[in-house]
Amino acid sequence: MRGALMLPLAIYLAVFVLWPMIQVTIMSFYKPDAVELWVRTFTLANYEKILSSPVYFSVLSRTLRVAVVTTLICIILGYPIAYFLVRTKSRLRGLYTLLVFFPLLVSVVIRSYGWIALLGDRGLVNSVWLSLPFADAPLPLMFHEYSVDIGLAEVLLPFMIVPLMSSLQNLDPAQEEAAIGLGAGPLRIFRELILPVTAPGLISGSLLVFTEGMSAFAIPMFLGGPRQTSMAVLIYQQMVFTFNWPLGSSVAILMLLVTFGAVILALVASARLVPVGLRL
Amino acid sequence: MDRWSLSHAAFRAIVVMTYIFLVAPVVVVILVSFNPEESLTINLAQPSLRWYTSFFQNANFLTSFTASLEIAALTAVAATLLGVPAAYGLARSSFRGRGALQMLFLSPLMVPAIVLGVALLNLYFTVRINGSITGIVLAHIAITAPYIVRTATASLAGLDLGLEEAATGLGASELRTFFTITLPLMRSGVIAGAILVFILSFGELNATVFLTAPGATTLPVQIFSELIYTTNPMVAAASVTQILIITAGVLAIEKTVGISRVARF
Repeated sequence: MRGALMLPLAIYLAVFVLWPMIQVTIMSFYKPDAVELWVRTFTLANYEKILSSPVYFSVLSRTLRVAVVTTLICIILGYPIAYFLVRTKSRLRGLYTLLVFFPLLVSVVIRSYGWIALLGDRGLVNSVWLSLPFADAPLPLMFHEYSVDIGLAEVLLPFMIVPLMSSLQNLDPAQEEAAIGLGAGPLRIFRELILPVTAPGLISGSLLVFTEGMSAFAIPMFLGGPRQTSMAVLIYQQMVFTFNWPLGSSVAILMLLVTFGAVILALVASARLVPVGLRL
Repeated sequence: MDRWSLSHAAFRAIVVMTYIFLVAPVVVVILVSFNPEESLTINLAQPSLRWYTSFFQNANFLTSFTASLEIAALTAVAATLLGVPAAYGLARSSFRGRGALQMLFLSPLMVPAIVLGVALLNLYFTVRINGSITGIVLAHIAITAPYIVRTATASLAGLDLGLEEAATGLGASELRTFFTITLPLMRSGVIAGAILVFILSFGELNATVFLTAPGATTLPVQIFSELIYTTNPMVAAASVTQILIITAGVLAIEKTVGISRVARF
């Protein structure tokens, strides 16, 4: 009887997730057609086109690079915030925690708009910059790969902070105090106490940031501009403007494969680096 | 200065700067929405509400705004009705293939929303519900269901099994036990989960962007399409309206069970 309670959701997800995913996989092997959208002829041409054309391939490698760089930025910025939130005794701790979660729940289009208003030629950063006596031209902050790195790091930082926080809770402050008492410096404490304890959080946070970064859409679209397209933007163009659904589908499948690859990598890393008791 | 006070100062500076980095885009959007002129330059000397007036007079924005509210509400109700029983079934039974079922329930989290959007566009095209509110709601239910399953599972894990056993032991049916004992006990978790689903649906872009049509679009997709052509502060006013609704939701979650218990990944 209790099993029956699971049936509605199971059927629902089979119809609206599993089935369409199978369909889109099949679609990625169809031949694009100008009139019919696609013809049901099996071909590997879509994948060959993406992997052999320099234009498409550069989109793939850029997306991968941006996801990796974003993950690194989030690791560097995530540790101090996570440590601060776990250790602070401030009365405002609740507010500080809320400030981390809140941006996460604000739609990414809104934050993209905020980044345009910050980084644009007439944006806030440049209006401050141009008011300086020695500045003669606006800083080129938009439409570069680093623009996408900056925006994505902001959007995805909470995904790193939250898992880091939950694994940091396993570190007894007394251990740190003992290490300080014995003369260990901040770097040594990080390397020998904090890093091993937070390895599970670091791995799951990196996985989240990387996979979200791989599939990022709005930020690359608006901060990267036409020349810094991401895989998600390419999919959107192919599906909505060019109407090459088989090609769009194969980019989507490649994105899914990279995502799954990252999951496997994270599981392997977790098995190798994390003590048994702390594993995911 | 010794290395500790130096690194304390550096640590403090990094934390403050990262917080500024984290909230800057949202704060800037709020400031831009009060601009007196049509520019992104922030002018706090003469704040104006003109962009809010134009937002509420803009038919496209207004339609998408009400559609988003409607979609998010329907999604929250439907995802809860599907997800809570599923979580209960999962928590209170053991059978072969339970792990596979759990995987299925969490599968929408593993597939990037953009890929699911492509897949659903394909499906909707064949069954002819593309570009409809119904289609968007059906997609949002699939995307948000895992969050309900997870919050419901978490609140079930904190329950005392003895209470359920006492009820069945006294002769209550399983169904009656669920409705009179279990559900009331997990109520706050379920409400918080439903609000979270509302917020996620209200802000969803990556899948929805494939599934809209003129007349059947959501506020994030409307903002998205406006941003392609213009950075007009009216878009900021639309965004602030959305931020206000999200804030109300976040505060409601914070009041029921606490945001950090719900927003787990």
